[in-house]
Amino acid sequence: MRTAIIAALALLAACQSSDVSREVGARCDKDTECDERCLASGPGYPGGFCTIACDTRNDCPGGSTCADREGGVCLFTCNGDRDCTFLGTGWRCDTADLRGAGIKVNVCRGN
Amino acid sequence: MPRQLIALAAAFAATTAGAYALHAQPAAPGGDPLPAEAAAPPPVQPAPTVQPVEPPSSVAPTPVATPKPAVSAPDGEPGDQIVSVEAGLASGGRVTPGGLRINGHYLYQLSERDWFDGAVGFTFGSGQGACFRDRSDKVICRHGLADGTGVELSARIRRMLTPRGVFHPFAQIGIGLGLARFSDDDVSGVTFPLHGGGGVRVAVAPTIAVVIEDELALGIGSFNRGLGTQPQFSFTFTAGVEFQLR
Repeated sequence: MRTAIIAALALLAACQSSDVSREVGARCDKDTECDERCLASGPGYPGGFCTIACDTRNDCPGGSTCADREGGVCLFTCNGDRDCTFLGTGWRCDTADLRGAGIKVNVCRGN
Repeated sequence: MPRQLIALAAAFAATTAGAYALHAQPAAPGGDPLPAEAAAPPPVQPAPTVQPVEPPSSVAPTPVATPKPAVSAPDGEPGDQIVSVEAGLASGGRVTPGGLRINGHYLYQLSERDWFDGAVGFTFGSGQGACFRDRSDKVICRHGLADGTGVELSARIRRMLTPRGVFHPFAQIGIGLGLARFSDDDVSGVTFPLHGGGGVRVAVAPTIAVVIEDELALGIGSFNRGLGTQPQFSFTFTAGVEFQLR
């Protein structure tokens, strides 16, 4: 019985699980769809991309880092194109400047 | 109250009362226990013997006044009515509104222990946005405990249980029909919750009682923006005052 209850709760929780959030990663057309900012859909951010402004990587939630684009925004880190497939078509893993550090990092971005 | 509505309530009570798994002792109408003399069957009297007929007396016997319970209907018949207002907190989450809860109740006595409870409830939470589109364009909402607004009409059956001192506990079940709204997300829906809970009332005056209730609501809701049918879950705690209408 206890196992069934735990399984039911896990199933309920899994119903709405997502790799993205209003903070970073959700699709969007306007800022009100995001916690802070929407990078409009286009070649750089296919489907639109919710993100938050940042000055250092510490400003970004887990799984993302502060890319020196658009004045400093959080983008998902990656090790290859496969890591970016969850964002949909048109996304790939590419290098970007880490804001405030003068080094390169790999982040998911549009073609 | 129109007679048709009362009849409908009585029919609802008859079908719902069977769902109770309670073993409460009978309580008097109005929330007070019956006196022991009233609850016990009358003692069996021995057969009368023939006595000589006495001449009629010129002095009529003095009628004895019977004390009436303070919050009971005349002669113990059902029909008492109560209105109440309550305030408290409701927990929300996802697409269930939560926050400040204000309830208004109208109670009508159906039988010795059962009351029909028609209520309107308002929930006031924040309008903060918490929905987003995932990468497959599916809308996901993650509202907090105190987000959203709602209004609900509900019908319950309240069963009064055995009093414990000045405290008169009760259990209740019911159904509701509501509207939920999350303004910043432009999400709205119709909800169909089932209610179950209980509480306690304490009479503080002949026609006034303080009541505390907690209740669990489970159900479903149908929402716009592609959310479709979503589960509803809420826990409510309220306190208020009841006024007997007669």
